[in-house]
Amino acid sequence: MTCDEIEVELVTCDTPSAAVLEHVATCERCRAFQASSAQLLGDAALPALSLEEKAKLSTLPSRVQQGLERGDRRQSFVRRAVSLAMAACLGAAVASAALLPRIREAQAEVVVSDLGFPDLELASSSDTEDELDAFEVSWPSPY
Amino acid sequence: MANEGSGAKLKLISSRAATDAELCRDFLAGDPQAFGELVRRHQDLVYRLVRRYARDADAALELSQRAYLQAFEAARRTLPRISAAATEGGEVPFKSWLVRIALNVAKNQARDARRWAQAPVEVIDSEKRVEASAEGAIDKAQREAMTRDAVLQLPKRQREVFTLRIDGGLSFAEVAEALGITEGNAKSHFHHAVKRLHELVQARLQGEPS
Repeated sequence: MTCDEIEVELVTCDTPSAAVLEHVATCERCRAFQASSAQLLGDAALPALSLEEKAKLSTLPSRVQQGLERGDRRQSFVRRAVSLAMAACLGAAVASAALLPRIREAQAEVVVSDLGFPDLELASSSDTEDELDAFEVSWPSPY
Repeated sequence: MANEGSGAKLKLISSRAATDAELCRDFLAGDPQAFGELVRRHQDLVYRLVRRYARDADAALELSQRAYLQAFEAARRTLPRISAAATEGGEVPFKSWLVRIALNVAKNQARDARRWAQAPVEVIDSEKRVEASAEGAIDKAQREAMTRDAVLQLPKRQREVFTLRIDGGLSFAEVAEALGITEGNAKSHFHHAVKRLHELVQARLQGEPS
């Protein structure tokens, strides 16, 4: 076994094998690693739960239950709001589809009857060429 | 009626401990007893996992609650799978979900705490530090605080394995299962984590920036 393999076993096995212990007894590097790792892991470990923490922890099930209920209420509120908004949109679409032709008709009536333009007679294709010539402007102007 | 049914089921299986899958299924069917049991079963583990990353006991409790809520949401999304597993006597990875979610929630907390320049871990340990200083063992307390802070500097996978092993007290087989890696891989990450911690602590003791 190499020193690296010994190191892995030292930090990952609760009870190292006899072969590992034998190696450690004769290897200064592995002995130093074993000692420093034990101290390091001890330093890194958090202290045991205090009584206050244990008391607080006992309230966790009810806190989680309340959190779930809050989440459910929020979700159902959002679902209801979305349904209402969709229903409103649908209603608006149906209403506008029904009313649109009427609105267009009303707009057309307003243009024709209420604007008060004089009756214009548009040139028709049946106008004679002489009449059309009268509209032409000669260039350069004779005036 | 549904509650009576699930209550009866709980009584029937009371001769042996109900599996997480059975408790999950019964909880999702609206059984509060199953819910309470499911939370109680893993609450110590979840709390110990997030504790290192929280600034105090209240924050740790808050993180635990958040982890449970996210795990239950995950359970709801996979209800058919859970029901099938419970019926067939199989298992759902509820504990693995919980562990991974707890680590994630804790990691995010640590990131935010760092952003706000807070000192996690040290506050939790304040009682012990006062006691230590009273005994004149300030060096030891400082070294502990330094080492615990260095744990938060470890690369992600090493930190996860280290937390599950040291804080959660899980075996390497359980660590491997929770993280979806092999046991040998978990041991290797742990070994690297210990070596990296050595380096980080040495660098700090010598006043080098980490």
